[in-house]
Amino acid sequence: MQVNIKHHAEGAVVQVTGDVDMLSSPRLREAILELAQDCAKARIVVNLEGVHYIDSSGVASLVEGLQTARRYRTKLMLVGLNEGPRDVLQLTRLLDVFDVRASDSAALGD
Amino acid sequence: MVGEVDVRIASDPRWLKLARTLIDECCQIVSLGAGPTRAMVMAANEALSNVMRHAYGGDRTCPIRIVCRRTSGALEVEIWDRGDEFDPFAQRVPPPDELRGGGRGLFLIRSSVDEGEYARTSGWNRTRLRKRLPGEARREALRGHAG
Repeated sequence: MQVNIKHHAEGAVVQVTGDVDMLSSPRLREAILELAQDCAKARIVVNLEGVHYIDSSGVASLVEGLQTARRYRTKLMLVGLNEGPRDVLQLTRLLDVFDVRASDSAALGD
Repeated sequence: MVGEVDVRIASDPRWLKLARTLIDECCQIVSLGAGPTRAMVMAANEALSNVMRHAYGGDRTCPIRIVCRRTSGALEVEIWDRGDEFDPFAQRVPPPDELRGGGRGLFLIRSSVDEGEYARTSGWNRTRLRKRLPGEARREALRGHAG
């Protein structure tokens, strides 16, 4: 799994590529938490277009990121949900908990 | 799929992707269908992750055996380990949408398979996951309807 972070004036985009499982999820968690605690970032967009598999540890990283972002009054949004990640979030009844946007620009734009 | 696939891996998370690929291929061979395949791969991955993290406490050198077989009307995946005794089907599972970090693995296992079963034999834990094949699922629904 690869995590690339692009910084924009409106916030940061965390581009994730590859499977998110117990081996790789600590890297995703670390990246999101670090950004969430950075008060200068108004928005964090986690782009999962390149992710077709995410397990419960990956979901846990997203939830922790969301909680931390809320604590620091930062918005955390998800973009590019493929079938696999969407299935997991739906099954765990978390899909509506997250702010899911159509694209990076839609997430950064409004 | 005739016969069965029987492989050994170490309790190292680097093997997880290979295990998922193997189980995915077995699901495709028996034409399980896209949704049920994703569900079976997810359940097996969660069961394997639990073994690595909890049963073996993060020790990456312990043995895990994965068996995939087609039985009458279903695909079965068995995960064998020699770690601490743990029945994933007998635990209390917290609501998955509680906003806490972890703890959703057992929920995902139990909600992704048609049947699950745990046994401890000769020092091995055996977690069996079962997913009905599409024709069998239809037949079962019809039987239920008729009854």
